[in-house]
Amino acid sequence: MKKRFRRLKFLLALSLFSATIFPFAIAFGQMSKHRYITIHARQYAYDPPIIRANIGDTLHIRLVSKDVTHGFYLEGHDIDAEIEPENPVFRVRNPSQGYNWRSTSEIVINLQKSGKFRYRCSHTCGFLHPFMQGELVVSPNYPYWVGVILAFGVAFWLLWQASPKEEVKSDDDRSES
Amino acid sequence: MTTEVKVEAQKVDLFDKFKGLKWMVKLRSFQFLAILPNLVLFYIFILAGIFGSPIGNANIIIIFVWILWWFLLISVMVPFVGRLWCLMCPLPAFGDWLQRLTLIGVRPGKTVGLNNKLFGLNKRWPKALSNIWLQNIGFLTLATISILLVTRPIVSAVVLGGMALLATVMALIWRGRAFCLYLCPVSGFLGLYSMTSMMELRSKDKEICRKVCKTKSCRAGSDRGWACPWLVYMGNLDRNNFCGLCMECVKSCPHDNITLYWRPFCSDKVIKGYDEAWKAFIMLVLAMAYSVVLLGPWGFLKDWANISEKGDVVGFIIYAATLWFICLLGFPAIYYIAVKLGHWWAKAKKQNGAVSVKDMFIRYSYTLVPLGLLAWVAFSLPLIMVNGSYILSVLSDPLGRGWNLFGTAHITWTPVYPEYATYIQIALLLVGLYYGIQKGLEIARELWRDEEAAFRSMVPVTVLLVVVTIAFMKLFAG
Amino acid sequence: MNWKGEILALASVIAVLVGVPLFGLTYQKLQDWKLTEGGKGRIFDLTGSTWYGVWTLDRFVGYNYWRLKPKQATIRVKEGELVVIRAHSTDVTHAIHIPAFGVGPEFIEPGKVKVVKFVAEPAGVYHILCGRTCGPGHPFMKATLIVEKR
Repeated sequence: MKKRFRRLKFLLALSLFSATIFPFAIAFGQMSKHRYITIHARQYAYDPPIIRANIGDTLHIRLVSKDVTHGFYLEGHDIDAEIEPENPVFRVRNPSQGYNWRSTSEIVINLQKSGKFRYRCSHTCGFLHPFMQGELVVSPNYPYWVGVILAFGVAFWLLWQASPKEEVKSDDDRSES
Repeated sequence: MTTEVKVEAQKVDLFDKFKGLKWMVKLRSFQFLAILPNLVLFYIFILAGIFGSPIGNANIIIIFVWILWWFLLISVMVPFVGRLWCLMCPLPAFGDWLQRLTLIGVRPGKTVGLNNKLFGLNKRWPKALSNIWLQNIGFLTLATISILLVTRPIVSAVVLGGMALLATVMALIWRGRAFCLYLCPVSGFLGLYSMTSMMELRSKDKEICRKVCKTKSCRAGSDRGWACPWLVYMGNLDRNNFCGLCMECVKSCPHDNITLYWRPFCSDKVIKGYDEAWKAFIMLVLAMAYSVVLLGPWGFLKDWANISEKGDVVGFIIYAATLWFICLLGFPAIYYIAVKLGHWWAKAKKQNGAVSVKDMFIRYSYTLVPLGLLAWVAFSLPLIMVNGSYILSVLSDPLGRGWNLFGTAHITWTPVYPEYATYIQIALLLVGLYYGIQKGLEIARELWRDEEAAFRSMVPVTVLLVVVTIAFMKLFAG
Repeated sequence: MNWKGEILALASVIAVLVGVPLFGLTYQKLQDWKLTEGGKGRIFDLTGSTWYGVWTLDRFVGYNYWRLKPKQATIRVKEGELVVIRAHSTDVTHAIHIPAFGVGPEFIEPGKVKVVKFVAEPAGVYHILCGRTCGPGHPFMKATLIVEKR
């Protein structure tokens, strides 16, 4: 019984591990692209709510507001923009350099980091302003996959620790059918 | 059994270690002094909610209650000092003071079998409601309107003011802290999650309580301390759930038998009823729901929840019904399946004692407690990292009227390293998963006599815990 | 029973219950006094709303904002008076713009306050506009400023 356990666990672990390698393999096989996206902002969401891209891609982002003035603060990429309704031109700044706004109609970002980065509204636009956010997911999402592997790791390790040890309880084995 | 001995050995007697601490908590003015600053703050919050700007991030009630206080409560207070908030909470303070007709003193006397002079009707709370079901429903109700609660100052003001009023009225009708024990939504989850906390107030030697002590002053009161407002008898207190750390018993114990211990994380493991198990389900599902609706990118969900502004009644009903269904039926059903599978597999070893599915269902729900707590911390963390700068600006302009009390009114919104939140969240979830599984395995060993049966019983629940953890990770970081 | 302690405790509770609103009102009065340079001018709290399309003297606060039906403001002052307008926004970013007096456009963030000051002369009827595309009510935001002859 114990031996079957161990083999089963090992097989499971192996298959899980291979499953997690898979997305890496796919991602590495892809070439960096230029992606052109128009993000529409409204009270209280962005459209598209989730942008998926690969590391190394270059994003060309246009921002449009459908109703009132909104912001666009992309974390991890030092971008903060302010979008007015009915105006394809908006102002953008780099938060690390203070409040030097410049006018533009497109933001160009080269994605060097993987993971999930949220873009948030940085300009009070109404009641649900603090919850107005979207997600930029840059694959391969190393932090997430490491987290998943560690979650399995924690579970397996604890179960392994708790699984009954080698001492053969001969009566039990024989009584099993 | 061995785990309990291990835990006992690791406890540190805080009164022993810090002499000033015991002196401080024995002061009659201790609780009053702890409450007073919070009374000032919550009073300001309620006034600001009523008379201040209707814009959430310009009003002190929204920023201080839902960003600062909530974060401190769930991430700093609960894991370390448990229900310490209940000691200093200003909402039931007026109730206490009216019940006692004194602010810091103690009145010996005889009322309803207690050795204090108490005012009010001092009725017994009905037995049928002496559980946390009302708190479960209350918290779920607040959660359903959460998007309104945390963005509209007036809603927060009415809820907080209403709780204070209710607590005061209840104190005049029922004995002790009836509001805190049976109705307060915050109390509901504080009670459950304080099982994980690293501080506890216990009697040093229960034999002295049971065999030597004639007066049971902790429960009944004396001329040195009020009867426990949480209706606790220290001779029986074995977990943190219903102790509000008010320290009256420390003052009144004639045998100086009560002390504050520092203990390992997740030392209380015994969930005692369906009401508490359901609290664990509700809190875990709500952590997920809040992360999806409030911190997710899906605008249509926010529209549905934002009933008073968007007016989408059908959407709101779908949202509310789904929330209640998953909390009260959906998730418990999935958990039940995991428990049943574990039970079935464990029972395949024929010589096991009668561990009922009911016992497993209730006791194993504790595994959701550390995971739920850490999930809530992970949820609260980006809120403070992103919006913490509002704390400074709103401090100087609490009503959004152009004041500048401390010179910080013009601080603009500045997120603090929000891109690192995902890493911290993943780490927190892993800690929660670790303790959830580990405590589950300990509980399993306590229930099942056989090592292998205990192991088997926990495997499906472990799978569920891993799935839940990965779901949170996907939401936060994936 | 420690009566001294009780009285001290009770006094502090009463001090809190009375003192907090008192402090608020006093501080506000102090602010008003400072802004009008010692009572020389008149202060007006003007709130912009794109939802209702108004600049209004009605105050949007916690207990009324959802049921208030604000009216477009008409401000009357005497010629030569110092006019202090505290501009608020109740929903989105506006900009206070009084072209006749060269005031603005000054951005007003929701929840924040912008103060503009000018001396009202010569006599006449002027308009207060919103200087930034704020939303649907933008073209309707037009308050009236009447400067009367002495």
